Amino acid sequence: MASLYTPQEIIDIAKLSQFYAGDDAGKSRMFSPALNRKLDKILYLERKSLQWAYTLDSTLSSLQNVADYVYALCGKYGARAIAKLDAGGGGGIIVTPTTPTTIGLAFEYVRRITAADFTNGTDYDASWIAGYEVEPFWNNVNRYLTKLEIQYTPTGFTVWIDDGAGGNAFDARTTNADVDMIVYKRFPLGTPVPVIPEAPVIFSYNFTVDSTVPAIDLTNYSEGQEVQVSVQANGYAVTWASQYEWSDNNPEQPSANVVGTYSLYTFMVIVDKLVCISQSLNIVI
Amino acid sequence: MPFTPSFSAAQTYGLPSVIKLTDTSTGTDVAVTSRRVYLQQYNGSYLVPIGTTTDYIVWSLASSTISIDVLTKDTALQVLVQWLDIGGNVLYTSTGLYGFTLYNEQFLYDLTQDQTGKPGIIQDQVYYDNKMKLRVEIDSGDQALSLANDITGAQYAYDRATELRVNQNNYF
Repeated sequence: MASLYTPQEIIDIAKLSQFYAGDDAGKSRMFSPALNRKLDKILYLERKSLQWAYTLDSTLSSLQNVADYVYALCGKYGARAIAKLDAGGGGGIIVTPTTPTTIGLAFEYVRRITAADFTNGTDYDASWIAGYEVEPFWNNVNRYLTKLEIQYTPTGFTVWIDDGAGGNAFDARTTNADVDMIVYKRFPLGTPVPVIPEAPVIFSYNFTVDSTVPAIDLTNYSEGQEVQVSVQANGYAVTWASQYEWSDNNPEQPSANVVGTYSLYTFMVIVDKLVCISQSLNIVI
Repeated sequence: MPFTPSFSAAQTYGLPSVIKLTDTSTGTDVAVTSRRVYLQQYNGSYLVPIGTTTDYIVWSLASSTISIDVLTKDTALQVLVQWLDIGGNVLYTSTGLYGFTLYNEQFLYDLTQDQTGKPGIIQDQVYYDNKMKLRVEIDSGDQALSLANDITGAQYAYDRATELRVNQNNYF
């Protein structure tokens, strides 16, 4: 059986499990006893041996077997340790998933339907599922419809339950007037994954009167990205006495707090003399 | 580039009697013509391989590593390496305290391997208490070296661990 975790990962899991087991034993009471009050000591002992061998020779053939044994000793504390490590607490076991570009068999939508939703005794027609693959769960019999029991039509699907004589036993008007289904709609294969916009990056600078803010390096941002600029003095937006200068030496004079959108790589601002307590510049990308 | 002497010491799994030294010095000095190693124990005596008549072991300059088969049990050692000129004068030295614990560590690891085949044995209190003692003695020896440079205390701890190992039929 393939192992879930490498020896190095199990060493980290055991280290954390040891602490959890000890903590549990310390809190143990008569009616809520710890599983094994010595488990923390056992985990220390076994993990040390595993770690010693791993450090000495990480290619030892026995390592994985011993590591799996140590992992088994961790028990429920191992699961807790993994959750902690996965959360970034220790950085030991972080599996970086591959970002999909298209949707596979994900369900998109669920809707409950009853007899009243059927067009007739057998057909369910609705624009929200027309042309899509569906997976109806039949609550009355507590199971999904099988592939043979769903016959797709251009406008929806027909429920077809074999009556044993070649006919359809399903009838939402009579026999199955109490029909109660949850219909899962699937994305078609290859549907592009929606792009989730990133949170804006905000650069904020405070500077003194009559000074020049150093050029801000925006080279990590691609040309065409929108940049919003605002300058404030004493907490209020200023629309005068400022000059915005871009890397292409094309000065822009602001006309409002939000100056506009730009697609340049560097940016600097020159503020003229201004009697104020504080000034600040914000750039939102 | 000036010569800066240094070395490292290690053991190899399955070879607990062997100490492997690696010369990690940087720079060069044309005056250096020979190299020797002293392995001094807690009682001041020197460990040398069988047949060696000096307190030291000659480490040829032609080889950056040397494997010395001298240990019979876990041992705390002060390892001293000297670089000498043609007249036998010591030009450079480098020294370090090491705990060579492969005998007992390997025994502990073997016990853990055995446990994978009979996991219930950890419920045997005598067995596990003794295993715990073995672990503690090794750790104590290591800490005596790393925290206090106490080679004698380390050797005593290692010897207590060795007592458990060599009499394993009584303890495990």
